[in-house]
This record gives sequence, structure tokens and C-alpha cells, in this order.
Amino acid sequence: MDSFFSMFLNDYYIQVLTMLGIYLIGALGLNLITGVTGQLSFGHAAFLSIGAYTSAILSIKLQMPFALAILAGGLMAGLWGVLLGYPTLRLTGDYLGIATLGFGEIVRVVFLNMTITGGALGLAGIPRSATLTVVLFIVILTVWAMVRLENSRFGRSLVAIREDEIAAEAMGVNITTTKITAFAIGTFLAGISGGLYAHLIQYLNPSDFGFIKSFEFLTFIVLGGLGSIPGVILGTSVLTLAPEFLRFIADYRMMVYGLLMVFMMIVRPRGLLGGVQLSRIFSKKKAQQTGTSASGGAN
Amino acid sequence: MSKTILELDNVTIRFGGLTAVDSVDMKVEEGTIRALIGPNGAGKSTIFNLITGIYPPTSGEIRFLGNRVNGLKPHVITEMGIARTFQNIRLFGEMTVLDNVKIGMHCRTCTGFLGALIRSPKVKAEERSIAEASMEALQLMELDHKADELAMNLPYGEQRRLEIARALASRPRLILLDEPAAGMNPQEKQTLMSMIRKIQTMGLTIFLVEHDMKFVMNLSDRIAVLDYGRKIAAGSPVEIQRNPAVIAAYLGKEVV
Amino acid sequence: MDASMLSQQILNGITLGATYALIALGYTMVYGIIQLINFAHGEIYMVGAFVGVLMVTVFQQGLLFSLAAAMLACMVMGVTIERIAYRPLRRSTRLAPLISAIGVSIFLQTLMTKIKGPQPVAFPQVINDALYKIGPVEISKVQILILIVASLLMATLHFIVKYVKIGKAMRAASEDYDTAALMGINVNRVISFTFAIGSALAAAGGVLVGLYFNSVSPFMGVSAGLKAFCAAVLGGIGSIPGAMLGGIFLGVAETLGIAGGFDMYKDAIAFTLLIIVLLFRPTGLLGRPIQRKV
Repeated sequence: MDSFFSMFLNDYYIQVLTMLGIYLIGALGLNLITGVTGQLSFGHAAFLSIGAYTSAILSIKLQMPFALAILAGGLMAGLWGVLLGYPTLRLTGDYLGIATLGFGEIVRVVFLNMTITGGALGLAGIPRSATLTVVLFIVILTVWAMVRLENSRFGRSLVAIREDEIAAEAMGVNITTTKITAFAIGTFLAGISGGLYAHLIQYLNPSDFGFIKSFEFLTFIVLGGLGSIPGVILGTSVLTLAPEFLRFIADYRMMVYGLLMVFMMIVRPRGLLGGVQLSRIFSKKKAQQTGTSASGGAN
Repeated sequence: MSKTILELDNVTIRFGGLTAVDSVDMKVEEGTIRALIGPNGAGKSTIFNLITGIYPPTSGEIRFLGNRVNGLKPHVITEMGIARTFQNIRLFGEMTVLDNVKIGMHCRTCTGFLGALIRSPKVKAEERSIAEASMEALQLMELDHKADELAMNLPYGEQRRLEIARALASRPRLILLDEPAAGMNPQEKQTLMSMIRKIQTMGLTIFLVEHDMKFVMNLSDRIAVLDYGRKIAAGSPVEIQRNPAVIAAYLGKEVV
Repeated sequence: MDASMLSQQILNGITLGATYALIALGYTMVYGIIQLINFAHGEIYMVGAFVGVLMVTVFQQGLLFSLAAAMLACMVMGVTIERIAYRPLRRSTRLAPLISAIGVSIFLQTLMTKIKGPQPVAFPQVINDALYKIGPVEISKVQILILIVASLLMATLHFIVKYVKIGKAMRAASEDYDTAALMGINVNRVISFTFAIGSALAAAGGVLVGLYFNSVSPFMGVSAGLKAFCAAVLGGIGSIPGAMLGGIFLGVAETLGIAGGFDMYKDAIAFTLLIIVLLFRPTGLLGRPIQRKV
């Protein structure tokens, strides 16, 4: 299938699209934590780096098969997600964000000082196994899983926690375990995303996973529309491809990028597709076709 | 004499220097409608928050069907069979009316996130039964025609009824209604009253806090009166209306 | 580590901490009123340092004049940023102004890189490096200057907040935004004023740090901003004395950590402290505990 892609796209575009897919997986993970469950995380990049280093080291040092290495990276990130989540998820709102920000910085400094990660020199020689086909497959799998979760008992309890924690608790939702499960899934996806990143770029450096990267992910999901799967896809695509489109203004592109962020927020503070849910689009259509819906409630 | 479903035994809670609820004793009989009244700030909602585990009492004991509930987490208490509504409506605004009620079914169902991914026939069957039971609860509160609307778009009176539907979906034995008639017009209140009576005939015990005296006097079997965190009276509606301490608390006179 | 070295490190820590505190005050005041983590605040501090360099080198001004000019320039900048990037978002979701702040931060950082290049610029040493011996410790002229300027600024801030009308309005808005508005306080003016003061303090911090470490770079705002923010949270975000305490506490902890052999982990010290404090006192050292409202 990769040869199929290369018939239409040159290597550069294939690389950009593969990267977009990798970011999408991480962004969907963060969306589950922040967009759906409403738990602010400023440390998403840390979980990417945990997945990236774990899978890269397993690939290089133990010659572990690619799929297993990626999975191990995801599980390691998810494990750290639970370890961090257990004590911190009882913090509310901004305090949780601040704690995750702190965790992200600590992880970066630790990787910078470890020998097995190559420290500040970075880790090179990772096999380039993350092809567009593989990434695309995982993206589709992730989107499918997220849509299924959205319409389940579990997914509803996540949204209920976001909407009103006290009411959710009073309705019988165990908010601690539910939040931790969401955090585990979201950080697992971050780890998968990081592992794929390592096996695309072939080189890792702790400074690539600073808090700027965490904010980049936050921007993806906020710009697209928090909690909306099509929104996350759109937001991530726009922001990953924007620097490519802005290439003609060369040196000024990050400046323009910053201004665009401000401008987009002022024009659409709820994001491009805020409040849009895949399942709702379909169910609404069905309802209109059969004429059973008295009035559409979506806004 | 029917059996006691809920018992408060010398319950006290202090916030800093303020004693919000002061050594309150209370017994609610199964299958009855019990009301708790009192001036603003008397501690009525705090009692509900104590029963549902949002605040742990500073001292005293709360028993539900003979089991101690204070110290348990709110979701465990809900699972034991106590459901509630909130004075300042706490719906899940961005969820549909139906999904709000489905959350009420949460503690009676079991599909986790793996089940959601696999979606086995068993999971599908559970999801169907959740939808059916939730629609039933909506029908009971006459909200079934609004099932697909977002909860935040409902008018005030319907939001109050949706809270009751959501509470009913958790299949409680005891339901706590915190000012269910607040903000409703007389006609809506009349409808609500008959709905509450219908809930009672289904075998549920109802415990409500309400300011509308006509509503309370018409509906309740027994009434307790709270003032400054203390229980100052308890009895049938007729007894309460004649009680000098109650009249004093409401009119602000000295108790002689 | 003997006693004289320990007290020397504590003094150095307090000096560093005083600069953290100056920046932290801006975070805490803004958060207190509009619950926004102003992620562009570190960039204001960076711009302040550059304005200081500009005044000293190009315009050949004295240090105090340059300091005042940097503070004034950043005041204007802070107020403008609030007006353009945050005010339109005041009633939207919590994350929108946050993203906007990050946008401003990226913009200012790249703008400054464009103007001055990515390399650090040396801050002209307008003060000689004379050392004074007080008992067991040595203190440099720059350190004395930092401690005096920082104390003066914080005392002024304390005076404004406590006794001046606009400062009282700030406290009222921080206590309860909506009620303050209902009581006839012009909340927009209060918010502009808060941004002005916070930015001026950050600019002062920028000039002093530039002088202290003899280096100013477009990226200096990132780590200093994050650490000062840590300091604000450590002390209890929203609390002015908390920010001062948090800044000093963090500065001392960091200096002692480095002296104790953790220099490789220097940047992690602040965040480790932060997480520990958050777990045991979720609202910081001087923050008020949150009562669950139902």
C-alpha cells in the first residue's frame, strides 16, 4: 500500500501525512482526557516521550518486533498515566493542569540525565518502521474506538464528569476510577503516538517533548472543538499542515502562526467544530428521515 | 407501622465555626412522603448533602435500611438505593435529555470501556435495556417527547422534572427532592404533585425540601421543621401548622 | 557544606527568589481576578529585559531610568495584550484565553528572535562587581540592587492594594468578580490596571535578571515564566504575599539543590516541589482551602 501512496505523493508529502496521522493519535488521546472528560492536562508530551523512548530502546537494544515495541511504549505511558493520575486526579481544574505541567518538565529533565536515553545528545539509530500505511491503520482503529466509546455507558459517564462532577457522583458514577481509566486510555494513545514518532523520525531528543509540545496538542483539540472527534481531526490537520502552507512567508511563519491562534480563538472560541459529534450528526439525520424527532436540539 | 428506611441519629456538621446542622434526629418511614421545611439557611440542603455523602457529618450517624452510610462515597450510597435532585439544578447541560437519564442507570449496569469497544450481544442488550428503562422514566415525568434535546435547552420546569427522571433511573428506594417545585407556576406544581404521588405508589419513599407551604401541606405525610440547624418540630401537616415554635421561626418572633 | 557557605547559598537563593517573586506577582494577580494562567507573562518579562538593554546601550541611559522605561513599556504592552487577546474571550470556555495566551507567547518570542536573533545578548555591566563582606557572607552590588528594588516594588504594591482605591477594587474583584461589578466597580479598568502592574513588575524582574546573569535572550521567558508560575502556585495562586513567599522559597530551594549536587536536575526541583505541595496542600502554602459547593 505504501507503494500505492508513493505513486501520487512525493516522499516529503508522505512524511508530512504520516506525521499528521501520528499527531492525530496523540490528539485523540488528549481529547478523551481534556475534551470528553474535562480533565486539563498540560503534560501530554511527557507521555509521548515515555512511549517514544520505551519503544525506541526496545527496538534498538532488544531488537523487539516493531508492533510489540509500539505496544510496550503505549502500555508504559499508560502505566505512568495511572501512577500520576491516581494522586493528582482529585485536584480540580487548573491545579490538575499545573501538576501535569510539572510532571512533564520532570520527565523531560529525567530523560535528559539518563544514560540509556543518550541524554542531551539524543537517541539515534531507531529503525524507520512507521510507514504511512501502518499509521493510517492505527488512526482508523483509534477513531473507530473513540466513536464506540462516545456512545457507550463508559463514554456517557466521562461526559457526565465533565459536565458536573458532583451530579455524576450523585448519580452513581465512581469518578475516581472513571477518571483514571480515561487518563490511562488517553496516555496509552500518547505512548503509541510517541512510539510511532520515534520510528518515523529515527532520532529522539528530550527537548522535542517540552511543554511547548504539550501545548501544541492542547491547541489541536481546542482549535478543532473540544470533545468533538471530527473537530480533533480538523484541528490537528489544520495546525499540522498550516506551517507547510505558511512556508512562503518563510521566517515569519511562526509569528503568523501565533497570531492565527489568537485570531481563531477570538472568532470561534469554542473551536471550529465545537459541539459537533459524529454520532449526533448521523442520529439526527436518521431522525429527520423517519420524521420522529420533534425538534433538533443540537446547536 | 411500616419500617424505618432512613434514620438520622444525633447528626451534626460544622463548617469552621458555623454549625450548619446541630444534633438532628429524624426517622423516615418507608413508603411515606416526608418533608423538611425551614427558613433559608436553616440547613435543609446540608442534610441532603450529608445523607448522600457529599459531606461527612462531624458527628452522629446516618443509617439507611439499618446500614450506616456516613463515611461512604456518594456513588456507593446511590448504589445502595438513595437518589437525589439538586436545589440549583445540576443537569449535564451538553448531553441530551435521554443521555442524562441514562447516566442515572449507571450504577445498575456494568459495561466498561472494553465492553464498549467489543460491543458483544450482551453489551448491546444492556444498552437496549438502558434506553428502554430511561424512556420509561422520561414518560413518567412526561418528557419523552424531548428525549433528543440538549438538557440545557429545556425550560426551567422541565429541567426540574428531568432531574427527577434521572434520579428515578437509578432505581432508588428513597428519593430526595431538593425544592422540586421552585420556579414552577401553579399549574406545573399541580402536575408535579400528581407525579410525586405516582412515584409514591410505585413503592418509593420520598423525602423533600420545599418552600411552597401549600405544596408541602398537601403532599406530605409528615413534616420536620429546621431552624438554625436544629430540628424544632416534627409531625403531621396539621400539627406543624399549629405549632407555635414553627410559627415563630417563620414570622421571626421570640419563642416563649 | 559549612555554615558560612550555607548562609551564602541562602543569600544567593533569596536574590534569585526575589526575581521569581517579581514575575510570580503578575501571574497571581491576574489569576486572582480572571482565573487565567497568563502564559504570555514570561514573554513580557523577556521583552522588559530587552527594553532595558536597548535603553542602556542605544540611548545611553542610566540604570534606574532604563528600569523605569522597561517597566513603562511593558505596562503598555501588557494592557494591550489583555485588550486584544483576552478581553474578547472573557465569557467563553476556560481554555480559549489560555490558547490565545500561548499564541501571544509564540508571537512575541519569534518576533524578538527576528529582531535580535536567537543568540543571547550581553547586558552591559553598568554596575561594578564590587563585593561587600557582611559577617560570613559576601554580597555583590547587583545583589544589593536586586534586593532593594524588589523590596521597594513589593512594598509599593502592598501599599496600593491595601490603601489606594484602585487597589481595593482589585481585591474586591479578586474576591468576587460579579459582585464587584454589581457594586459599581469598573471591572475592565481594574483588569487593565492589574495587567499594567503585573507587567511592570515582570519587566523589572527582566532587567534585574539580565543584569545579574549578564545575559538576555528571546527564550529566557520560557523557563523563568514557568518557574515563577510554580512559585505563584506554591505560595497559593491568587495570594499576593503567597507569590512573594513562593518566589523566595523556590529560589532558595533551587540554589540549595544545586549546591547539594543536584545541578543536573536543577529545572526539575521547582516542579517536584510543586507537585508535592499540591498533593498535600492543593491550594498552596498561603491559599485558602476550597470548600466544595453543592
